[in-house]
Amino acid sequence: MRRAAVVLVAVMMCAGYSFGQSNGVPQWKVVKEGHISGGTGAINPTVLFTPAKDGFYRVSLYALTSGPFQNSVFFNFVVSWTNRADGLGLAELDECLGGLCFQDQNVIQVFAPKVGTPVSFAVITSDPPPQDSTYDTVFTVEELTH
Amino acid sequence: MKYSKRILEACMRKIVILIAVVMCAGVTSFGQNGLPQWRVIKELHRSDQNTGDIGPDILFTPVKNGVYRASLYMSATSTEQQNAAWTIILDWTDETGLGGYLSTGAPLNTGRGFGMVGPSIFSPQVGKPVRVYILNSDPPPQNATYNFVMTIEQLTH
Repeated sequence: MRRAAVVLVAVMMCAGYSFGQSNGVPQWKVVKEGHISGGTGAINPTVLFTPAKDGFYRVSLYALTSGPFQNSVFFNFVVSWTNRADGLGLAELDECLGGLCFQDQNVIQVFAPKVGTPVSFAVITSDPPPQDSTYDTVFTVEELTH
Repeated sequence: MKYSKRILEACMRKIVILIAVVMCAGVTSFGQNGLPQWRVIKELHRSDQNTGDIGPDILFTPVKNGVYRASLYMSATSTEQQNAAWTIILDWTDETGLGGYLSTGAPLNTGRGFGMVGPSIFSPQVGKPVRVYILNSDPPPQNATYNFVMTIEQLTH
């Protein structure tokens, strides 16, 4: 039994080490992830989570659009929140389908949302929307956590 | 004596079970929430180098679609001010087939300089290499050295 206890403690220490938690420093951990392949239309604001306590988060948002050349049309990818000063916070990618514009972008941003207010994701399209066009997008939200 | 040994064994058993439960809870809370996590899959660093025009060296060649996050940092110092620099470049073929790159450099016009870029997300095409290289300016830096570090994370289960 004593030997079993020793082995168990050793395994526990190894597990703790391999998960990076032995140094006592907070780590970024993905708490929300979403991805869409071959998307074509708008997505209404969708609540990802509502923080129950103060904390720091990091959003990583990537999007790629493809379609024929079109003037003044775009897809807009947005993660939004209310910051602690009651202001609107945004991590946003504007991807147009015209000539000199970006169709492959990313944004990475640290934010501190207000407790009890939602953090949301949405895809907005221009009016008129892009035609015969698709998008791929992926986002993660990491929390700085012990 | 025999009785107390039995009590000791019973206590020991409870402690072992408790440790096992704590360990399971710990493993669950340490990134096992079923969501993919960003994990460093490549790291490269060099210190006190003075050789430029290195590469391109292949870091990896993706075998399936995925998203990655790259961070680069470079610094250089010299005993003299000069119009020269080193540049580090990470390049890949995007999933669209277009070329993609990320670069930063360390200029020596004040005798020391640094640059950083990222983290920045990219999605390389399957089967096409992700490469790194270091370029000298023309003319190349003299009496100078550089340091750099880069990491590439993959969003993975």
